[in-house]
Amino acid sequence: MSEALEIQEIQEEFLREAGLNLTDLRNQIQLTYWSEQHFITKELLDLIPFGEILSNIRFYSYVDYSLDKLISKANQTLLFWRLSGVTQYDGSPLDQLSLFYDETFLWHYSAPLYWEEIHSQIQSGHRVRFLS
Amino acid sequence: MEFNEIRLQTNFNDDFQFIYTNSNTYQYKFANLRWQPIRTILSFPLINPPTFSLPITVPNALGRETKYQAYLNQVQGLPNNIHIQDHYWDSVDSTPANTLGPTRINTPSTSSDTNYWTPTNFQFASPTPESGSTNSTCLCACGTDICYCDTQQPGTPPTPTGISLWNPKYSNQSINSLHYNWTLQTGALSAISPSSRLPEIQFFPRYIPVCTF
Repeated sequence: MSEALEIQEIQEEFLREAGLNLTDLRNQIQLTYWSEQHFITKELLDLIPFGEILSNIRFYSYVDYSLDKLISKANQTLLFWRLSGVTQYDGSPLDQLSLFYDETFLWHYSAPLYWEEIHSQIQSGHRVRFLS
Repeated sequence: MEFNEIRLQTNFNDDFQFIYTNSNTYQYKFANLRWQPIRTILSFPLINPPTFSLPITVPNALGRETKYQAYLNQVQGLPNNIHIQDHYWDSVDSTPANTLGPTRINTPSTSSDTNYWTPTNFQFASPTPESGSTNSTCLCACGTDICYCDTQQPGTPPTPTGISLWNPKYSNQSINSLHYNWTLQTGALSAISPSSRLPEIQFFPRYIPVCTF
């Protein structure tokens, strides 16, 4: 068995055992990134609310209850990257990936759904946030 | 994890536009295994804040309208709780600064905004030509989305398709069809501060691998 095939089998077994699915970031219209590596686990992506308009309740709920989960899911993605052998531009193992919100989706698709409510909430003194 | 906040800017026609400002930022500290707030900017008024950024006015869909719409349908399926806003500690009792201020496209830096920029020893994935090292480090001043660095990084890859460069703090117009290059660098710096421009400073509009999980 070739080394490449062996590594692929290990990756697949890891993902299967961990109950993880991979997501291709190229299909995620709500975010942007700058990398030649395109895969993170779906479980991690699901915890990153790009494109959402966050009320106070949603924002504090996220900060209080989701950030810790984010670390464990990020670690799983990191482990997957290591098993995959993906590298950065300089050939070193990939260990970070910056994700940003997509301006077009947020400002021209998502936020316009709630313009009236956003305006009303700000006028009432409430903060309206989004993940950037 | 960096959050921004939508706010309002009034104009002389008693109309308003949506703008946004920096808000809460959280960083995970591996030393003590805890998330810590590293920046919370809540002191500005919700209406007419002195420092703000402008949303893009023209969508940069790049032919992906169908994908955008499909994901929007997905988002619409989520519970919409924005109409339910409990009175949190960071809400305000009344709407401050509800007076007409100057309508500005640009937002000059204030002292607090200046403090927000922090020097960062930034490690690039691409080597500098001088050292040839793969672990070169240069000093950058980084805000939420933008870094100003003291050396050029010619190994920076070209802007990927689907990413438009823009400087939200100084213009609501994206810089279309430009890859990262010196022309963009000098042009962007000219718009910011001609007098303080340094000869070797490099400008990274918005997209730079500075955050980590």
